[in-house]
Amino acid sequence: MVATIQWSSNERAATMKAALLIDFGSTYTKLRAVDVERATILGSGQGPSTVASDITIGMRAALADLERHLGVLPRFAYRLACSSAAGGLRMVTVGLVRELTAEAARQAALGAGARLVGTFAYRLTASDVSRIEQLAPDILLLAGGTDGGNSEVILHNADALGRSRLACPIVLAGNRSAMDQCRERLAGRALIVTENVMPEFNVLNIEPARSAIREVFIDRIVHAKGIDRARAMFDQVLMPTPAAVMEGARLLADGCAGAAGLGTARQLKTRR
Amino acid sequence: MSRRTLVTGVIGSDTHIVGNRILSMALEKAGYKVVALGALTPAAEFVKAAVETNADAILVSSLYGQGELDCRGFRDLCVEAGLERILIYVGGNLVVGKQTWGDVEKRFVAMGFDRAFPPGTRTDDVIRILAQDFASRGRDDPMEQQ
Repeated sequence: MVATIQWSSNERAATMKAALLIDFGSTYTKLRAVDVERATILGSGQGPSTVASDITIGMRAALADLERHLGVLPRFAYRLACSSAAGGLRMVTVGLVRELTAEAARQAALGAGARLVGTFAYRLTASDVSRIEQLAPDILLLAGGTDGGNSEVILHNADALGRSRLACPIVLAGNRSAMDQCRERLAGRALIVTENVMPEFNVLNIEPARSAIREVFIDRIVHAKGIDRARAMFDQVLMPTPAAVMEGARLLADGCAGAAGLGTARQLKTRR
Repeated sequence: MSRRTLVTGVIGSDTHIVGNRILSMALEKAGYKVVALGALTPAAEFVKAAVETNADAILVSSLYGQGELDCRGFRDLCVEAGLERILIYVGGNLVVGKQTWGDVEKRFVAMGFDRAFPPGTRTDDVIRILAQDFASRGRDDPMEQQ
């Protein structure tokens, strides 16, 4: 049973500062209404996931459900969403040495909330490329070489991908010295060039690649998967759901301005 | 041409880092980019580091007498990773027991090391020989044209 606050009057609902938090999932559209000032959850609502047809149908159903719980919907000061709908952000990573830049690329992808469908290392072979074409990811992360280090392999891989039928955006996060040439070899593709995931041997620098991936997610994927059809019903899709869950766990552990965290947290993933 | 990159480290289960650190600092001072892997470094890690950093040479130290076992197959690992031509040096107390240096050197060269250095080698000598080896390779190495 979900506890909800009984409104003394509609007045209260109109004056408080409330946030509507939305998760466009692949099974349900889930809502939480939060009183931001009192830091309490006002109530929940749920509707089906209707990403495949018209996302606004599920959203309306969820809002109606929320309204049933609350009596009246407050005027929301914030309406923020995350999404894992339509299979989430399907991603392929490519690096050089499996334990080094290929691993760094993998971590950047996971940290950005992507669903990794393939990881590749060393020189991409013809069959690797056709495997990637088959996987048809939403986004591909191409890394390889430390800054000033090996550029031959990432250039080979950029060339192979440039000739492929792959149409998705590519995030380039490899050896700085090779970026210009990679760009040439991938001309005509949607490209985001960012800092190397491993600028020095064994030094991880995944944050720039992570935010580039999220940018692509918001710019392209949210649009491609029709989530922005419901744009009038929320302000912004901030990130993929797995990234939102991770951010949430990080806030719980580290705290935020004015609130101490709980300390080290461990996130467990359950499969239904 | 950009700075040359060297990978250094102490191989195997050996923790004797001091000499290797002195060597790494001297090489850095001589203008090289040094990727120092430190003590307790498995052979494969030298090779992986050299691949990612596109290193020009790997300098392996071993002080605890097990170097011969640890270094076995080192050149093969390099070849396997596509570093057929990389310069590899080894130095330190490479073997146990009383053995003449000439024999030890021969054995390590036969294992595929370009050079082996006895205990007490000065850093200046390493830097001088390294420069010579790079110079002589540069002349006949088509890769240098890039």
